[in-house]
Amino acid sequence: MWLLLKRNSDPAATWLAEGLSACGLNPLVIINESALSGGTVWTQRIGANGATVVMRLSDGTIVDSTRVRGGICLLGWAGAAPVGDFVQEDRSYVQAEHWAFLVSALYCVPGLINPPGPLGLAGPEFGLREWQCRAAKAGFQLRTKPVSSNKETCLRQRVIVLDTEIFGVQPPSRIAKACLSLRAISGCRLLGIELLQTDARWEFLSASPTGDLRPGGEPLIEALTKALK
Amino acid sequence: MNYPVIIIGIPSDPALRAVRQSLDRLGTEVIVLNQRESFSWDLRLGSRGDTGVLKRQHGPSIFLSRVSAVYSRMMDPRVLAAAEGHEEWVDHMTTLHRTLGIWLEQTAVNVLNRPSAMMTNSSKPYQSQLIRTAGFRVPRTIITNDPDAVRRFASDVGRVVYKSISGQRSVVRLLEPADDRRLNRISWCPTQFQEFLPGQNIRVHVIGDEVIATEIASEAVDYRYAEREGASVTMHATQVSSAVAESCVLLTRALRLGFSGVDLRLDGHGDPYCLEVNPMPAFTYFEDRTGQPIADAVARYLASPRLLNVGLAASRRRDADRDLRN
Repeated sequence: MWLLLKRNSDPAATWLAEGLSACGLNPLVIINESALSGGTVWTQRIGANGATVVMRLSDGTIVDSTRVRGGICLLGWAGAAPVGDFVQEDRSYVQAEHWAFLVSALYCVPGLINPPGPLGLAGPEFGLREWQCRAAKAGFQLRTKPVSSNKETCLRQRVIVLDTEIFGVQPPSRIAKACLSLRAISGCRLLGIELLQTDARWEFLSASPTGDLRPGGEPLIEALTKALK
Repeated sequence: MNYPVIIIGIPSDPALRAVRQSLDRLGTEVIVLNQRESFSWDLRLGSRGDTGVLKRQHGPSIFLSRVSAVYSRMMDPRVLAAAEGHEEWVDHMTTLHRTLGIWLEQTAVNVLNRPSAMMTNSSKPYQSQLIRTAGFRVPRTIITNDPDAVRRFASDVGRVVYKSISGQRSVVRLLEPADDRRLNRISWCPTQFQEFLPGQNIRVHVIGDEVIATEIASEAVDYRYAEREGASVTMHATQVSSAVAESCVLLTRALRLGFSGVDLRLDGHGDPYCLEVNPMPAFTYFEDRTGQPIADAVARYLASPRLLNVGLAASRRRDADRDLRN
């Protein structure tokens, strides 16, 4: 069994699911954000033999981590849906507890490409300024002026990095090296990077372990399948 | 050249004050950044986030590339602004706090502790998995929103305690038969239940490679709240075996911490179970009751000469400072 965790409405995740399934990752269980946020019965156990989690989803599907071989999480964050039912004083407590649980429960699912942690369920989600610092260290030039300048030709490019391979548009070697370096610095295996290609150079815009993987196309699907098998 | 150690937080915080006094005794230059004044600070970082300049209304500017180490016990700026009665400061203080956090993350000097490393505490069962991977035994635990699963667990393991799993503090309590009628409430939110391990409580403070162990005796389930339960709590200095001490040091390193409070429970055979690791220990609670020199160990770590060689190359430091002055 493989897992794909995604937002309730996410065409890019549907594309990914179809591709992974066609490559033989079956059964592929798709877990929507709403299932994580409410309506699921959870039991996580931690002990001498490690940690396991069993989730009974609202549609009756049972996911037992001991039967999972791997997966991809495209959800950076998921809140507790019924928080509105609590009195104001308890809401932040419930949110914090629910988040703490999701991090722990998904962390014990084996083979997730980007293991979850307190900074994000799909791997670390930094603020833009934090990504920019890491990008500068990785060797990128940062965009310092607004993108909407009409004196230059600007083209937004999305690059997907999986381990040591780059998918999507192939940037010049210096930029490719910076992409690989940023992926390593961020602690993710899978990272999407937004770049701005101008007349003169390639500049860093943003990065995230979640987001649209479609620019990686079939080669990325094949590489992910290989990584997950 | 020796650069100052920066201490960030509320100066009256007992832990902060104790470390500052210990650094003073060592003759180390210290700059205390009083977080209450942060509404008037302006912080500008270099592009990589590891350099910057902090401008203050009540003191000279600080070039962050000219700092040797940092001890940070920052409060939540929202709580601080509210406590000061100035809600209008929240936005500025929050932004500043985040920017300081970026520097604490990116700077090459030693920081006790980096913000991202402290975040394991925001999910106790996640941290518990890291603790187990690092080689410690952990109590049998179930986190669930299924009341029947809790009943089966309690029937298997015997006495059970329940407690929060996030960074929000809660009092550890025994699950009593009378609690059964309340168990259905957990269907709203997965809740943690853990086997109750009778035995000896040991708090091990790890500072770099140094280990200071304290034994805590109390009839209370949660000794931190013993007085509230009408129970007593006594503490005294103790020694742990070299194997346990080494495991605590390795665990602290594995969590990317320089300073930690490791909570152990020794079972009837003297075998250690690790309950949790506190990444920002309020160590004076133990130091005041035992006289153990924990603040001195923290100060030695911060002032250690080996740390002064770490950091930016002098040429980059000069370039960064020049850029930030402009």
